Amino acid sequence: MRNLHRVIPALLAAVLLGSAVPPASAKDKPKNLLKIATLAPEGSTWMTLMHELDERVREATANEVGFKFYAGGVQGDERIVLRKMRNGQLHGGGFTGNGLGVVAPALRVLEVPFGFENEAEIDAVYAELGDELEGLLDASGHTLLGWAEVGFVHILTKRPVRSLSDLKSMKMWLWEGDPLAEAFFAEAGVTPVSLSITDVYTSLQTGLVDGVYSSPYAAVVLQWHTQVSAMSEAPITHAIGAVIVTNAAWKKVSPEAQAEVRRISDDVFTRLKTSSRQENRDAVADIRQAGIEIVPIDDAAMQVFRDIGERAARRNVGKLYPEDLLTRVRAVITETRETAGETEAP
Amino acid sequence: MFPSRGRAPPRGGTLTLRGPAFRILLAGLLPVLAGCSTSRMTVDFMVPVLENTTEVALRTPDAQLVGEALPTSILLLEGMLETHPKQRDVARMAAMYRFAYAFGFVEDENPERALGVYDAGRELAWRSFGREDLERAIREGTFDEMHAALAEVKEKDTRALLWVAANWGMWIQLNLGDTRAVADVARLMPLADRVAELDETLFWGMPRVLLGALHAARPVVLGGSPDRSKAEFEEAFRISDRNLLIAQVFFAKSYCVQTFDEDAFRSSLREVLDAPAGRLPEAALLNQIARAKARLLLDRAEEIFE
Repeated sequence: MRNLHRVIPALLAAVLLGSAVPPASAKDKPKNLLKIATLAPEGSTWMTLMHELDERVREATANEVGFKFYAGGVQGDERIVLRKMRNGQLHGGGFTGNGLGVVAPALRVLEVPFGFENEAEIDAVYAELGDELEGLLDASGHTLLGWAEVGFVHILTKRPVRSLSDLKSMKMWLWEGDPLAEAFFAEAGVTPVSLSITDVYTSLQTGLVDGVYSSPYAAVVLQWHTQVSAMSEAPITHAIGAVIVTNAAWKKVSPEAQAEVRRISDDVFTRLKTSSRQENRDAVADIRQAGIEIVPIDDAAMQVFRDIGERAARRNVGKLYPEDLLTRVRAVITETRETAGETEAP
Repeated sequence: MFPSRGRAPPRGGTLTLRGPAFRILLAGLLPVLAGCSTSRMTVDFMVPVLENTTEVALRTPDAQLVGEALPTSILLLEGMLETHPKQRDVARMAAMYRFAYAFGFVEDENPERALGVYDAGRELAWRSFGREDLERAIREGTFDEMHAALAEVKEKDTRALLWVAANWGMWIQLNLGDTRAVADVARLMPLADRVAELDETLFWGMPRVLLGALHAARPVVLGGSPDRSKAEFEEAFRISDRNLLIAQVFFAKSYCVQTFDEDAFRSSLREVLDAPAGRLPEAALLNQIARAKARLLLDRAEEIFE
């Protein structure tokens, strides 16, 4: 036993089968340990980059700041994590638009149906309005560490959806407490089944729902793609994400260390965005290989969906986001499209 | 185009068993055939010896001795496969040895290297399975093709497929940054289910241990199922009468970590460390590896559940 113990050094593996065990390290506890919860599992690109962030920040701040990441949803879903942040049990978390919308509803302006058509438009909006969007978080008592988009969201269904009537024939899932998706389904005349994300897989199996919406990568991670036979070729929206910490925790960090954290975060989250986009592209290939039909929607049907999306977007003006913000986001998108059109024109 | 019934066989100028041409050909080819088949026959004859060696290794409580011997054994087995590529038993043993080596002696120190060892182990196990058509459907086919292929898998195939699943599962878990690996979960789970369905008692319940770990590998919010994981582990504990200690280790580091159950984590690992020597002597090696892993995990309990 003693011999064997010598064979295996104290540093444990990063990830073992079925393990949510983080990589071992011989780190000293930093002066400010920021405890962050996320749904991303250990071993994922997301967590690998977060561990890198932690190591670099500790080094650059001489251990004034460090992170403890709770991966794989062990601290609960987004709303539970927010509650734990409020009572100080946690200092931050990685959130999708659903969680971010609870603290800063106006951010959902980035997720209106059919808002973006490509990544260049998304990047342009962040470049133009990023500081203002970050300010929305600050006003809610949170500091942005970095944007971590989920990606374009597609409809995955048990039968192909080519038209509004096809969609109406589906028992569509609605992420409970998601006002934006709720508005879209209401305008479409679809009565969705409101469920927590944890119940979706089983509900697809039992037939309680026969349609969901998700990024391709998330659909693969969640195994939802094993329960459907079709995915819309065109996305219905783009889903945001971000890692935030409470201002209360952030203020304990010295301005010098804050600057270091921001500098390193910028690099790490930029790389995370690139990886995430690639993972979604790879996931589409996996979904196709699994025999799932990638369903195109013709122009006429698409226009019907776009009109519904527009009505859903209008429905939430004044509720989630102000008219002015929606207008300015759209202005940036329009300008980006026009510039791209001019570049492409002969 | 078909010969009519009762027609006499053609004669003259045709090779027959008695024909001189056949005798000349046979005389020429015999040494070549004999040389080739002798090496292959030697490999075939070695199989029972190798199976015995495997049993001895599993019974050996000196894990360090086995750990040091495994690389040589792996090379020997893979050398034999060069000689006799279709010797499926040798491929299966090589797959198992690769798994044991990576799991017991590599991954804790060097996960990246373990990745390669598991990958090679998985390929050897597929070779041992010996059904390339089914393998292709399971690995790359549509989900319909995959399920149809799994339905064709028989109980006799489970000894090979257990090591496919075990090596594949470890490879995925060490490689979650790769979308391909994440997508493979959808193929591994039904495969592991099928193996357990056909023979859950393999290796003292290893298929159930594997399923237990897989169901806890992902959090609930990401499609994991702690309840199913616990049920699989309980089944595994029942099969080995809690004597295959590696099951408790997997239970602690997958189910207990995922559900943030520190008490169960500690008590499960303590059970492993307090188990008297001599439990399940046929699997002494695995139990010894389990003890080492339990000790390391227990040392980190505070950090994991901080």
